[in-house]
Amino acid sequence: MILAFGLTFFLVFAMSETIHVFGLPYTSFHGLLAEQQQEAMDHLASMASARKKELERWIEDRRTDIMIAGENPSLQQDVKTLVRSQTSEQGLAATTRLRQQFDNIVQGYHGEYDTIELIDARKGIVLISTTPGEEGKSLAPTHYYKEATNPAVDEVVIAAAHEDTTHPDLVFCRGVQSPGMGGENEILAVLVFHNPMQNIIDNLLHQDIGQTGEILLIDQDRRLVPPLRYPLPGDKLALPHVFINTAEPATLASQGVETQLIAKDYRGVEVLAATRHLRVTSELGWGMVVKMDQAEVLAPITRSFFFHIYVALGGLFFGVGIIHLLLSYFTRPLADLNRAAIALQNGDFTVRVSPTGSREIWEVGQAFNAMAQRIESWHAELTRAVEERTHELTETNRSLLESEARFRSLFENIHVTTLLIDPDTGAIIDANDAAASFYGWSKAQLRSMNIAEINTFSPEKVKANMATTLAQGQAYFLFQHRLADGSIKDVEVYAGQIQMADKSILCSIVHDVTQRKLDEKNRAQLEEQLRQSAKMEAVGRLAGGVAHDFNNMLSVILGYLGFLKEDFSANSEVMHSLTEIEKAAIRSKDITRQLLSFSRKQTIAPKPVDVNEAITETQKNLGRLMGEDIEFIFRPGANLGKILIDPSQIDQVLMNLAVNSRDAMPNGGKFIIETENRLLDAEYQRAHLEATPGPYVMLTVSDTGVGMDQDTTNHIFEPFFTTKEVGKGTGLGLATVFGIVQQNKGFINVYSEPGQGTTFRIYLPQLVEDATAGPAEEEQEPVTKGRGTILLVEDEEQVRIMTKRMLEGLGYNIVAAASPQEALSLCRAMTTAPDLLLTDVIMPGMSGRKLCDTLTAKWPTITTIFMSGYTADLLTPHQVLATGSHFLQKPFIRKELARKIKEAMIGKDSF
Amino acid sequence: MLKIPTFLLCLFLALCAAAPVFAANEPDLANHPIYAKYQFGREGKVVDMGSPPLSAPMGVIGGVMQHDQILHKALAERGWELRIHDFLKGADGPFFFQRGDLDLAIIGDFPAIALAASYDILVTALAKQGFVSILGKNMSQMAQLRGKRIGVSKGTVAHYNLLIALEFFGLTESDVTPVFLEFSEMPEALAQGRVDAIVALEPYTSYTLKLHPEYKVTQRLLYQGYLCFSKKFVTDNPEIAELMVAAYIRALRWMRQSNANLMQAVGWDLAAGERLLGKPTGLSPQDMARITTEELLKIVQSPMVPRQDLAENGVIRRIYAFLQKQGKIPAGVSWEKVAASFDRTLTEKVLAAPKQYRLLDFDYDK
Repeated sequence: MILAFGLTFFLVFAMSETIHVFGLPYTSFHGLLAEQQQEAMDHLASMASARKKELERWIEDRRTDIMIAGENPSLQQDVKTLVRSQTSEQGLAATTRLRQQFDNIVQGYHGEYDTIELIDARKGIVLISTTPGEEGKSLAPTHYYKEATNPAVDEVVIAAAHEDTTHPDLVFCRGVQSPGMGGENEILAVLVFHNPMQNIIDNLLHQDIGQTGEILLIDQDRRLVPPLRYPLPGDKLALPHVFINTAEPATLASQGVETQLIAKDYRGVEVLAATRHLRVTSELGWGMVVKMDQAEVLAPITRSFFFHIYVALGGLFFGVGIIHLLLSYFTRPLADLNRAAIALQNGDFTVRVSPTGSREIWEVGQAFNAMAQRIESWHAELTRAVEERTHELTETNRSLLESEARFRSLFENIHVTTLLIDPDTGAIIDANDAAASFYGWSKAQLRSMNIAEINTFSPEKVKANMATTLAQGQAYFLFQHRLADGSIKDVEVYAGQIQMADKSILCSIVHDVTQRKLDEKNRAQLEEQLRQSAKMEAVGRLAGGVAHDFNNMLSVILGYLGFLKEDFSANSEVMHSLTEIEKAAIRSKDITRQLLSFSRKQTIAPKPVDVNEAITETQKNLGRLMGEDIEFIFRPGANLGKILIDPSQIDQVLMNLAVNSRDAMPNGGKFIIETENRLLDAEYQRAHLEATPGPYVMLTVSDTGVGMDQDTTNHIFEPFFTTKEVGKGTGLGLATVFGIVQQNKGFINVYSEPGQGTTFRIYLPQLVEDATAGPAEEEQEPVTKGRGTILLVEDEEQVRIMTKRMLEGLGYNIVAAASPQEALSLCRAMTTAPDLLLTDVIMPGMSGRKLCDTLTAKWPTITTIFMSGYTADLLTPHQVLATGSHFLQKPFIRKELARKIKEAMIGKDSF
Repeated sequence: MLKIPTFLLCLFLALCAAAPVFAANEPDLANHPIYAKYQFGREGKVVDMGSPPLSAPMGVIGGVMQHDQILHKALAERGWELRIHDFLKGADGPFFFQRGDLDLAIIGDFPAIALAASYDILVTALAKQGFVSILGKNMSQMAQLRGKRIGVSKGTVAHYNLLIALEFFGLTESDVTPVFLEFSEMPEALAQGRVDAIVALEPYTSYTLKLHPEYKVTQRLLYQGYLCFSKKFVTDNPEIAELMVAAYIRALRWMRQSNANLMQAVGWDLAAGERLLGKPTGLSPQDMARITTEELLKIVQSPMVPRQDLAENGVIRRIYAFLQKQGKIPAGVSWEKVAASFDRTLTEKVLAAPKQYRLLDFDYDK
C-alpha cells in the first residue's frame, strides 16, 4: 500500500510538473508571443499616431513662426524700407532691426532655427542672414525661394540637405508683402527659416523608442529626410535626401499608406513597423515609419519562457529526488519482495528474500520464502509430468504425421479417381491427381466445387445418397458424372465414411465405366442378334426338315401322278382329277421351295449379277405388281459393283418386298428402289454382328406405307409371321428374303415407324473378281429314252421305288440300293462300273457324297447325280454345287429326271 | 431591429452602392429616384454644381457655397443662377458630367482621374486630403484580412483603395469576400457581425470608431478630393468659373475664420444630407467639424493640387496607372492627357487677386 501510494504520488507529481514544465509553456508560448506581438504592434501604432501628431504640431508651430514673422507689420515695414533703399539710413536701420529680430528668433527658439534669411524677391539677393558671410549672395532663379514669390502661395516648406550633406535642412519660406495691402500687393522679399531638425530628431524621432526602435521620415520618392539612428550595414552613413529606403514599410509610408506590419527594414532585420503619412503642407508630404526589432519585442516573452522552463525543471528534479529518497526508505523491503515475486513469476523458483524491515514485512518475507519453496517442489514434479506427457504427445503426433503422410501419399499417388467430400454440404474437400486428370479440372478448382456440380443427379438426390452412405458406412452407386469439357461419363462410385479431424467425411473412389457400359450394351445387342440368328437358324432347320420330308412325299406323289397320267386319256375325268392333284402338288412344291429358300437349303447357282440390270429387267413386272396407285421409282447407283448371286434370287427378293410394300400402301404411295456402293469397316461390324468388312452393294427398298411398330419389326423375318388377313399371305415372303440375303453372305436392316413407311436396306458383298459365266440356260427338250446302268441309292423306300420305276420307264437298267452300304455291296459284285450313280445325299451311315467318293475312287469315270430335298449343305460347305457335280432337287418329275441324266451324261455314248 | 423604412432605405442605398464610380457604365442613374427630379439648366445661364453632402469635408464646401451671397449676387449681376445638386456620393457626379448636366462638381480622386481620361475636365483645386480606412475587430495587420468578409461600397474611392491596399500586401480581391454596402450601412453591419471589416470614408470611419472604440484601424490610405470643372464651361464662361473658384476659396477661408463659421457650415451640410436621405444622418456636428478641419482646413492652405502629386511617384500618377491596369482607363489614353486636366492657373489667378475676387469678404445667409 505504501508502495502504491508512493508510486501514485510520484506519478501525480511528475505529471503535474511535466505539465508545468512543458505543457503550459508550449501551449501558451505561441499565444503569449502573438499577444506580445499584438501589444507591441498596438504600442507602435499608438506611438506612431502620437509622434505623427507631435510632428504635425511641430510643423504647424514652425509654419506659425514664419507666418507671425512674415505678417508682422513692423517687419513688413522694415522689409519694405530695406528693399526700396538698402543703403539709406532708413535702410540700414531697418537692416539692423531685422537682423536683431532674426537673431532673437534664432536664440530664442533654442536651436529650432540655425539660420534666418531675408531674400530680395525681385533680385534674388540675400539681404539679411544670421549666418555670417551669406548676406549679399545672389541666388539662382531656380532656388526654392522663388516659389514663395507667388502671391497665391502662402508659404513654401522645403526639405533639403544641409550644405555639408550630412544633416537635414527643413526650410520654411514665406513671401513678405507691404504692410496693410491685404495680400493684394506684390511680394517684396522672402523670409526663410532654416530648421536643422535637431530638436525633432532628439525629442521625437530618437527618444523613448526602445533599444532598437527608430522613426524614419521619407519623402514620396522614399528618400531619407533626417538621418538614420543607426548606420547602415558596414557602418556606412545614410545621407539625408540621398539614401533611398526601399524596404516595404518605407514604400508604404511614402505612398500615404498608414498601417502596421511585420517586415524587414532597410537592414534586412525583421521588425514590427507602423507607417504614417504626414502632410507638411498641401504641397509636401512625408512618410513616417515607426519600427522596432521583432527580437526586442519578443525578448521579454522569450526570457520569461526560458525562466519558467528552468525553474520548473529544477523543481521537477528536486521533487523527484525527494520522492525517490522517501520511496527508497519506505519501500526497499517491499521492492526486494516485489523483485523476488517478479523473478518467481518469471520462472526463477530458487529465488528467496532476506527478511528485513518491520515485523510485518519480515513475516511476509518468511511466508514468501516458504511459498517459493513449495512452488519449486511443485514445479519440479510438474516438470517431470509435463516431460512425460510431452514425450507421449510427441510420439502420438509423430505417428499421426506418419499416418497422415502415408494417407496423403496414397491419396495423391493412387491412380484411382478419389474425392473427399463434406457430407453436410457436398463440398469437395480434396481431390487427387487422378481426379484432376479424369475430370479435367485442377485440384484447386475441384476443391472449390460441390459434388452436385459434377453429379448429374439432382442436388437433393445427391444429398440423399450421401446420407445413405453416412448411414450405412459405405455404399456403391452408379452415377453419371459431368467432366470439365462438358461430356458425361458413366461411373461407379465406392463411397465410404472416414474420420478426419473429428469430422465424418466421405471418401469416394470413382471408376469410369463408360466403356464397359457401352460394351455391355453392344454385347446385349449382339446377343440379341445372335439369339435372333439362332432362332432363325432353328426355324430354318425345322423348315428345312419339313421341306425335306415334304419333298420326298411330293416326289412320290408327283412320280406316281406321272405314271397315272400316262394311263389315261387327256380328256377323261380321271385325267382332269389327276391334273388338279398335280397342280396341288406343284403348289406344295413351291411352298417347300420357299421354305428351303428361307432355310438356305435351296440349291442355287450363283453368278456375277449387275443389280441395276437385274432391277431394270424386272421393272416391268414390278410395276405391274404395284398397280397404278403406286409410283415406282428406281434410282440406280453409279458404277455399281456386281454381286455373286443366283439371278432368280434377286427376283425373289424384289418381288417379295414389292408385294409387302404394295400391301402396306392400300391407298397408293411411292415404292422406291435405290442402289449404291458401300464400303463397310470394322467399326460398322462392331455394331452389326452379321456384317463383315468390305465393299458392298446396298439395295434400298422403301415405301411410304403404313409402317410397323418395333414389335412387328422384330418378327417380320420369321416364317409364317404375317399381319395380313387369313388367306392373304403365307408369312414366307420376308422370311424368303431374309434367307436369300443370308445365303449370299449379306445382311438386311429394316427401318420402320408406324405411319412413316418402311425401308429395307440389303447389303450384299460385291464381287471382287469376275466370276465365270453361269450355267447355260435351261433348254426345253422332250423326254428322251436312254440306256445304260444306273446305280440308284435312296434310303426312302417309296422314293426309291418311284424313282426306279421312272428310270426303268426311261429305258435304263437300274441297280437300286436302300443304303450306301448296300450299294457298295452291290458294286463289289459288279464286274463293270455302272454308268451313273443317282444317290440321295443324306442317308443313315454314310452320305451320298462319301459314297460318290468311294465309287469314284474305284471307277473314276462314273458320273454322279445327287438328289435331295435339301442336301445341298452336304454337297459343299456353303450349299454351292461343286464343279462337275450334278444335283437334282426333290421332288422332281420324270422329265426333270430325264433332262438331268441327259445333262450329266453328255459325252457318254451309252446315254 | 431595423424598422421597415430604415430597411428599405438601406436596401435602396445598397442598390445605389452597387453603382460603380464611373456613371457612364450605369445609365440607370438617370432614373434614380432622387436624381431624376433634378433640374439641370443646360440651356440657360445656370451653373450646375454637384456636391456630396454625406462626404465630409467635400460636401461641407458645397453647402457653404450654396449660402454665399457674394457669389449669388455676382452671378445674378451677370444673369446667372447657381444650382447645387446633392449626390449620395461623389462617385455619382461623373455620370452627369458626361451627360453635360454638370458644370462643376466636387469628386474624389479615383473618379476624377478616370473622368479626366474620358472627358474634358479641369481639376482646379484640392477639396480634401483624407484617408480611406480599413477597420475591423481584432485586426491590426492587412495580412489578417485574408479570407474575411469586407464591407465596401462598390465602385467608390473606398473600393479602389481596398484593391490597392490588397495589392500592397500581395493579395487580390479573390483572397477576401467583398460585401457591397452603402457607407451608412457599414457601422451596423460590422457591429452585427455581417462583415469582419469595413472600408470606410469619413465621417463614417469616425462614426464607427466612436460607436465601437474596440475596433482597430488596420490600414489607412491617403485619398483626395478635387474641385472639377467642365473644360467647355471654363472656356465658354471664364468669368463665371473664376467666380466659382473664388467662392470655393472664400468658403475655405470663411470656415477657417472661426469655429462658429465652421459649425454653421457643418450644420448646412448635415441638413443637406438629411434632406437627401430623408432622415437624420446620425453624424455629430462636432465630428464633422473636426474632420473638416483635419482633412481640409489645416492641410489645404492654398487649395491647389500639389505639384508633387503629378510627379513620377505622385499619388495621381499611381492612381492613373492603377486604373489603366484595371481597365477603367483605356490603354490609349496617355498620362499627358490626364495630367493636362490638372491646371492650377485658374486658382492661382484668383488667389493672386484676393480683393478683386473678394476672397476676404464674407456674406453668408444664416
